[in-house]
Amino acid sequence: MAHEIIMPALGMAQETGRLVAWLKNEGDAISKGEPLMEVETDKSTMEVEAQKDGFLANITALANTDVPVGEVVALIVDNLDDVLVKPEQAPTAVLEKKGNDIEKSKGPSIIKADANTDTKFSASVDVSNIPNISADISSSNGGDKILASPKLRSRARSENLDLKQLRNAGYPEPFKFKDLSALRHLSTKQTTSLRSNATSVVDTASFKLFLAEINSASKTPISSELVFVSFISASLRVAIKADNIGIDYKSGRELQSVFYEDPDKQQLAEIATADSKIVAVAQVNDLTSTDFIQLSGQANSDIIFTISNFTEQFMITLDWEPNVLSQRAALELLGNFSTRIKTPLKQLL
Amino acid sequence: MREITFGTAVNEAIAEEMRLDERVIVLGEDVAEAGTPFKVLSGLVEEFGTERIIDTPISEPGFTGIAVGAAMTGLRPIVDLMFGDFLFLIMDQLCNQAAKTHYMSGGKLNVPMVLRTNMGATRRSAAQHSQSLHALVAHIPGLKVAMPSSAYEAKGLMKTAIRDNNPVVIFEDKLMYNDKAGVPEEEYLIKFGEAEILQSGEDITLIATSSMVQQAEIAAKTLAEKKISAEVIDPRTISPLDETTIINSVKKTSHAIIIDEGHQNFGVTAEIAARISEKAFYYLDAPVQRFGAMDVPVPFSPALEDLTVPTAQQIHERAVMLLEGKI
Repeated sequence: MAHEIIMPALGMAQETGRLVAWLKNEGDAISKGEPLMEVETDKSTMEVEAQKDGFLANITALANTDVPVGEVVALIVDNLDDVLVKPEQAPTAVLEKKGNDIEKSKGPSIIKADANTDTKFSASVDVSNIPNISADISSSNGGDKILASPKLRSRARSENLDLKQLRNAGYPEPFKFKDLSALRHLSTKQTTSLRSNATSVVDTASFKLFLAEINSASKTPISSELVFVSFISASLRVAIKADNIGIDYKSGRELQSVFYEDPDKQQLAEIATADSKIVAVAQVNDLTSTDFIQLSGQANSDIIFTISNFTEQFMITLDWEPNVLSQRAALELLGNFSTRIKTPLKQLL
Repeated sequence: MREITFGTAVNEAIAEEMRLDERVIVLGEDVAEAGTPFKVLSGLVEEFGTERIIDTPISEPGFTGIAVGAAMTGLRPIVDLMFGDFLFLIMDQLCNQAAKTHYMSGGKLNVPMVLRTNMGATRRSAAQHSQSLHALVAHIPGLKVAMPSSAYEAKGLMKTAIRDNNPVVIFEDKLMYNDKAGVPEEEYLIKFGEAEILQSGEDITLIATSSMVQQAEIAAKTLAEKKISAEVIDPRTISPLDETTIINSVKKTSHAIIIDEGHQNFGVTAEIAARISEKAFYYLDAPVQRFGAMDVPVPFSPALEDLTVPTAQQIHERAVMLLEGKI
């Protein structure tokens, strides 16, 4: 069995001992009582003797290093075949074998180990201070933390700008004050990003006929508003994901608001207005009772239908926020609603 | 305006103050007949005699201690410490006695003493005669530290120091003794704690002390050729330090490099950089750069020695990197 050689505690408050030199090489045959290594502590130097016969193996501490008291620095094995060379320990052992001459073994481990040797000193003599200063910029890039100068950061904060937009747009970090105009530009683009719109024109004839027919069959009058809101609700249900379809319906010259919730799920004659606190996923501007055909501004909703009379046709304009609805989905939504107006009878089936 | 050397300016300042106030004396090694190794005090002993220009034995703690006592009891001594490196020998006299006497005597005693000494490498004087140890002194409350960067400042700061009722340490760069600058014939003083803006600029602030001011000014010129407008600030005294001028400048330029010939670690550059970070943080567009002497004992080898001290070219390169966002 291998016998462990440890760094001995030679003083009262000693935490580490300095291994001055190995007096035997790895693989050497040693006998009990033979000096193995020289250890220095406070003001004295002493030799540590072998406790048993065997071979010196697995040297893990270099000469001229401080080793914590109690740490195993080598083993004494009964025969050389028992030597357990751990991969990470092998190189240090090899270095040591070449001798204690520090000049010969300028490995980084030695430099780190001994603060008093000249090797350490000469290693720190850089020709210039410059090369090591930019190191952390390149290495820290790509993390979650956005790198930006304090000046830009504080300005962005006061202007309510999000530095992430610079990153998303691919500007190199760290961002500096000069990037402020780009950041402003990026965020204006986003906040007032042009809403998209599309307009369709549908003949009113079949809708009017339909309205007349259902009214003759119904005890309570059914307004065009109820048909519109029901059709829009049904179209929205196809286009967007929402449990409830709330609609803010504005009509008349004053554009008075009423709210509907899931009107497509109710009988036309029974559609009731909803509480104004519901979440409206869309807004409808019904201009059919006015002479106006277009209305813009006042975008309270991400999706806005504007319906107006234009000669014998309905002009239906859809405004939408591109973040919420893709162009394709928007056109499908508008097409869906237009088809319902064009062929209302089909919708009842 | 006439131009005189840095050394002559110091000599004039001391001579003028000695004529005005007979309590002013000079003591140190080789100050009388030899006029110091740098000949700065030449001629003073002829005018004022050996009673007031006193050659002392080679014992820095001895003559500094004498000066502290003399100052406490009514004289206004100027101690000449041949090399700044010898500060280590007089730490107790300077830092424990001179710096604290006014405070510990409840204001009953003053130590109106000037310690003039030198700093600066690149004179091939090796590690024990080349150090710039002003940061050590500036660390001690109760001591003022002046660092003239020209003949004009050398004279004005020396006269102010002699009239100050507190101990003042003046560091003169050995390399600058023969540098000439315009110095008026008429009397003037330079107030402590007032930095000078040697050149105003918009893009970057270069804060430099002593001989590094010259390097910063050269760098500012070469930067101007690259359309970079550098502001050069010379604090003139690092204790007291004119923080306001520095902070205001950095608020304007958002970039700063501090250049000082003391070792970079724990030095003047570190102190000023910290203050900028504390008081102008939200105005900074790049990390504050410290540029001190290399943290090694000053080599004797000329080739190596020159590498340890910041140069105008290095300042220029650092400034360009900083503004290009490479730092």
